Amino acid sequence: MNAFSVSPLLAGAVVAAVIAAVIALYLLRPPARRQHVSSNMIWQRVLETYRRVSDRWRWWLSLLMAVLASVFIVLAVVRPGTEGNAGEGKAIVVIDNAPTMATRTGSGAQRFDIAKDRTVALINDFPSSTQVMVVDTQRRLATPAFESVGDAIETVTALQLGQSYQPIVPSATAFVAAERRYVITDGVLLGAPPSDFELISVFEPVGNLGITAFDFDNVPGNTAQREAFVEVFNAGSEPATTEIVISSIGERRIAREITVPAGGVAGQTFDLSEFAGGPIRAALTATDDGFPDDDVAYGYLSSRRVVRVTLVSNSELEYLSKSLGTQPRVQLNVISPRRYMDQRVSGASQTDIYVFDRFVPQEPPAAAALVIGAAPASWLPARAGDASYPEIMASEIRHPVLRNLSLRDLYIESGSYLRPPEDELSMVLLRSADDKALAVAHDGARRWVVLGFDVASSNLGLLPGFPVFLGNSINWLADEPEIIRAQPGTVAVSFPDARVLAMDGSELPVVTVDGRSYFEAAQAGLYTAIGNDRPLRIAVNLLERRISDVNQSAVAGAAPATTATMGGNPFGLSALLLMLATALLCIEWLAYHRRVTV
Amino acid sequence: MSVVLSEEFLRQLEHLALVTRRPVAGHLRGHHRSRRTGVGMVFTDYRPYSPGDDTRNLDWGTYMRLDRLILRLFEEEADLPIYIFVDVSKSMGIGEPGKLDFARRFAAALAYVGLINHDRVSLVAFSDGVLSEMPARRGKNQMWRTLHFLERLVPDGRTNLQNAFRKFFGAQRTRGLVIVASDFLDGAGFEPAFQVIRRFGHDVFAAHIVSPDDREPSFGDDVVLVDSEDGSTLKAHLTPELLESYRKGFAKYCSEIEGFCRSHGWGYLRADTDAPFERLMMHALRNEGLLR
Repeated sequence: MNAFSVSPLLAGAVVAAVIAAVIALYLLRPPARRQHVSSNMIWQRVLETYRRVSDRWRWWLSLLMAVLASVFIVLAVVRPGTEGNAGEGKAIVVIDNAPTMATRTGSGAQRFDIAKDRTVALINDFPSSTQVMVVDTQRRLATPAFESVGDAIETVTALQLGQSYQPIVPSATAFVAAERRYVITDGVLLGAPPSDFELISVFEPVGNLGITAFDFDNVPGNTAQREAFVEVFNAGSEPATTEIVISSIGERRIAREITVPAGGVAGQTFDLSEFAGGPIRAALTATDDGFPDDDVAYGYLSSRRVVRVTLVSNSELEYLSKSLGTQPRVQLNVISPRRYMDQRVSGASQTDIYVFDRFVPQEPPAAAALVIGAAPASWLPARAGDASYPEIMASEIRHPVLRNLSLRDLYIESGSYLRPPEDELSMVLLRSADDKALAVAHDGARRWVVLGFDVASSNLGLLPGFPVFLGNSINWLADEPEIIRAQPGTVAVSFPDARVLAMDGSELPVVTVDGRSYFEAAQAGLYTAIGNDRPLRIAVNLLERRISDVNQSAVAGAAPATTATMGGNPFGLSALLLMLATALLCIEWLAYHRRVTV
Repeated sequence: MSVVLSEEFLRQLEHLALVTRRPVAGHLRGHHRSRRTGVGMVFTDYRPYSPGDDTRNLDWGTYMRLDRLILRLFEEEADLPIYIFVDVSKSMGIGEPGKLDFARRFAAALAYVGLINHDRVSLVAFSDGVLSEMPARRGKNQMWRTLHFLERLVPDGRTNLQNAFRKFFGAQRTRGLVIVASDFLDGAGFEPAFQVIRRFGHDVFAAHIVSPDDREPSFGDDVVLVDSEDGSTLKAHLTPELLESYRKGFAKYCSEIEGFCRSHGWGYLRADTDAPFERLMMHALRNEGLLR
């Protein structure tokens, strides 16, 4: 008999009957023995000070332990996993189809191909009556039910590599009765299989070079120069030589040969001053590379033009002008408010961004603007009272202006609260603890960022993040295309109903959930999401040592599993339940002899 | 049950005598110091001669020197009134070896010592009162009556030491040595009863009869403890810790009795029924100063 061959109702009835029998036995216990003693006088004295644990409590404790032990024994008897249970003749086969299984071995075959071959051989060795469930590691059951040996082999043959770099052995398999369980894996991303699974390892050390970092930016202080940084990791056991090629859509191309030590990394910096901007690609040309997916990385180089920034200030703050001047790409021009008004009348202004320091023109400027120390103006948020040492809270930390910025130590001696316009284009960047706006960003036809306080009456200019704030503001006000980075797999875009285009122009299917768009990036590349007023560039790269290190296997050196011989597993849940019951009986025995229980 | 004392043991007892720490008030001649002056060996005082005094006690040497008739006084040696109380309450019937049997043998041995030394020995069987009494006897030939009295004792009634002592000493009794053989398991406590004896000025020796079952109960598990005297019950789950607490509680009770006796200059002996009886009599009682 077992709990799965009979109905759960019947199994429950058996358990209930056992519980009832145990309780009945307890109720049938003989009454306490009458013991004649000379006198109860001393006993009475002792019991008055000693009796702290009630007999009723001890009775219930004893009954509870007896019931639990009985139930465990019953469940151990009816539980599958022993001979003659529901799992007999059934096998679960988990095939690791994580992307790293695409690693090529010395024979030229992928680890995944070897895994499939071994799985087919394994299933072929099963008795023909065996029922097989094939499971992959990409959070789905390849066959949600047991199937015959022939069908299982077809399922295995049709199985494809997945895209998730976080494979798992589905926990649901633990609740499915099976006589034997197997995991076929290289152990790189999946790790060691659960203890109740038999391991079939397809791991074989290979050589592999992979790009683990790819970034570029302007050189501070030199608006004309931009650099790219590439880091290459060598997963092999021998030093390897490769050529790094940086290329853009145009004809520009830089190649450099490097040698990477075994198990180490090598970083290289490339001068991109001659590159015009736009998509850019880094690639390795390594031979005998086991895992080619990490040999390429993509990025998006911002436009090459210099940003002309005009600082309009009555009393020039030296650190404000210096901080602006040291920003990459910034060509700074400092003028007085009077000069600004003259230029505005003459229309002679040639600027991309205005920075107004404690001066605000009444008419909106002809370019994007950063207003420090807002004064009343028709195009800016109205004042909503004076602020003095407010508690600052960043309300929109994901805004580009606040990216990588910590304002925890910001304090404002005096300033003004702002009343932001009630439209979708305005966003409060900083607010006080009592929910009053202190900084607002406006994403309209011409962008502006306004601070309700100035640098002189706050410690903003002294914070380490001040240059970052200026850089973020300039990048955002200059309307550079926003770039986000992601790994292959499911990628989220922050706005709904986006159109996502791959590099070849093909449109990818997109799902919108909770105001965000999701698409599957099957491989590294540069994707473009359209849906907002401007395109969003998405650089999808692996860039992770955990993935490139295809020789870091949790099953390296593991003995291959023996061929399937379908027999009983003596150490299943039944054994555990029996051990629990034994432990409970031992505890009860000890407790009884120590008179804890009755 | 017969009270058996071996012949050899009796012979050993014949060399002993009961001792009291206080002068006795016996009426007959004996071997114990008394408060009265008269014929004796121990000089106590002089006093002027009065007509009618025994002229054998005149101090003629003084008369020669002072020309006055002075009488020499001697401490009169009297017999010792011995009151042996044997507890025959139902609790004395519990335990193996039996406490009542032990008490009977104990009383018989002491009575024998008293009788052969011409002391007046009274036996009192008590529980919640005086159940039976053997009037004072003297002389070795009264031993058979004594044994007969003891053999007829059976456990009966609840222990009430105070009531028993009150009833017995309510009648006029000569001050003497009171020996109480009991388990002292009196719900009202032992102190009120001892205070009764103390008021009459007797010398007291308490023989605390303890059976192994009283001292260290060997039973365990869930039991209903039934009081042998009043039949009251007490449900208990006897854990080792509880048994240990009982042992400590019992030892404390024994200490309380002993402490009371010592503080009043009385003798106390804890007589375990499983201890060798003859060794107890020949050594423990001598050590306690009851026998010499």
